[in-house]
Amino acid sequence: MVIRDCNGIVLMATAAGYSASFFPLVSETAALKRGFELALEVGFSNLVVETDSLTLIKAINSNLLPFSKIEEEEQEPKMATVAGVSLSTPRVFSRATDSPKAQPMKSPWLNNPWKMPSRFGNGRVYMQPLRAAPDSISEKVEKSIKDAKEACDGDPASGECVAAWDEVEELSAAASHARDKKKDSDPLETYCKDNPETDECRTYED
Amino acid sequence: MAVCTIYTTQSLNSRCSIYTSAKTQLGFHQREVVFYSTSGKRSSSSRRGSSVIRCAAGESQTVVIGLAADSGCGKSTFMRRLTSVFGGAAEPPKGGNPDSNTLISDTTTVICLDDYHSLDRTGRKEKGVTALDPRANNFDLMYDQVKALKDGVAVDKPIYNHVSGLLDPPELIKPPKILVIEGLHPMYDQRVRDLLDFSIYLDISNEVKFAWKIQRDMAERGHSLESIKASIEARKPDFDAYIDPQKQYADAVIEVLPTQLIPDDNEGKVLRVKLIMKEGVKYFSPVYLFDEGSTISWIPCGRKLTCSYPGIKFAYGPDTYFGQEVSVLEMDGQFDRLDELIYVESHLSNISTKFYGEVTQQMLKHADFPGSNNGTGLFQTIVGLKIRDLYEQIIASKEAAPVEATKA
Repeated sequence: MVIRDCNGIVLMATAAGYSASFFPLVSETAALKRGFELALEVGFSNLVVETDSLTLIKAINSNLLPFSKIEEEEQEPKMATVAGVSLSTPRVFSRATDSPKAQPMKSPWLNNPWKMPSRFGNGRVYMQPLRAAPDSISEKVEKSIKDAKEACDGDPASGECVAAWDEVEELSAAASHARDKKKDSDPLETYCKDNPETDECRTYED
Repeated sequence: MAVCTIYTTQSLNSRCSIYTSAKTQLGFHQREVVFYSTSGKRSSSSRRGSSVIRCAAGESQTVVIGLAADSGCGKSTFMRRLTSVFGGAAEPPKGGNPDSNTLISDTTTVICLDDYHSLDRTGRKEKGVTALDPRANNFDLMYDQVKALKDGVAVDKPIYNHVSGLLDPPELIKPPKILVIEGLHPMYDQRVRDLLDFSIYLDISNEVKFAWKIQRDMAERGHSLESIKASIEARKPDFDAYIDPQKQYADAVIEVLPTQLIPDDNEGKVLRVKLIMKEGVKYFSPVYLFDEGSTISWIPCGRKLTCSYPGIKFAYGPDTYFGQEVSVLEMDGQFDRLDELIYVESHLSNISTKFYGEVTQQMLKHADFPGSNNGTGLFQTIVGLKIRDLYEQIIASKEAAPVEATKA
């Protein structure tokens, strides 16, 4: 099992014996699962999967596994997410939930919601993480303001009150940074900033 | 689980850590070694310690820059300008925690000192302390890790997650050419302060801070003028006690005040910005206007250059700041046209540009950043150029040093 970055440089590699089954498909699936686990554990989130087993890829891309359900849901609300990777069953993915407010997961690194684009190619599976939605930060800001007002009801100079307003400031700053990040996240815009003369960056006025 | 450490000779891109996976799955043999090369992860993420991964032979030393300012006072914008001057885009570590606060470019690594919070959001709430309070910060770890990086040793730095308010598992930081530590307390602890090769403080006056936070937060649900004001006021005692006093230690202070060009202006849109530069700092020679050491007041707008309302006014002269000799350059007003900016640049001296118009080029490149048309953007860019110059001088002197040592 090898994890490489976009330039082909090896980031992580592992080899392990597998004695539970003699079927190549089972061991390929086990290797894939181990790969996902390790990738999630260290926080790699944009993954392209390659395996020798066409059957396995077909299974992932077909309706046999809940994986493909996500593809359908993706087209509608654009927010379909997978709550995490099931580690206990031979299935690769657990079911999709409808909202980023998924039920709490046991392991903290499975807590990221995942977004599935609908481009599923030959023998490759694309996954992209859904960034912490600015909406959820906004909700946190709103709630923190309410909490701060309550905390200060009794004594406006108390540590409790001051800490609560400090939390408001911290979250407001985080929300503002998230907005900036979102603005910067268009790869074409970023590219065009450095290469304004290229064809794809030209703007026309009439 | 064993954490192994490997020693290698330094190459800029070598990262090394090996760990044996603790998890064994049914069917897999017990011994599985995972080679992993992006960020050191320890399974005992609850323990916060200074686990140091040695990975370097310290031939090149890291230059350390400190930037202090309150939250919402333009540290991020300053960092973007600074890293742009050094060349190359600064980005979060690839493949790491998406909520990491670190920025990495070819030459520079920017780390956020919030990562050294000893109390997370819940902890601070329980104890009733703010993030501004030194009790919420682990200065021992901050010192250990900045020192290690300065000595060319990679560290496993914790990550404070600003969204969740929790401490996330650490990330591996390798010693860069230039390390910038930005946050609330880079100059608070004397040990950390002594590691800094250059330090900057962004001093935003109360009126401007209020105006900026209105701009930042008013659109946010739940916020109102009252909540913005209440937040500033609640944090003020701690700010005055722990953050503000750091400005006396800074080599350069950028002070942002309301304009004096428009009588009784309280909109906070037009700004008067002062660049206070300490005299006698090694490798740093203050910028001046026309004649070094004289006191000058200059309105560039007149016959040769026409400016739009309310105009631009410069001042320059020697002064004292917390009992120390300083040079102060001041700009009131804003640039509305390119020729205004280039005209001003051509009259400033000692700005450490590499070609004519470099300041203007940098300002235009980031015209969408806040403050690009006033003294905040101008002085941030100039400080960036001065830091580049300082770095180059330090490296040149390091290269000369071994020669002298052999002579002795």
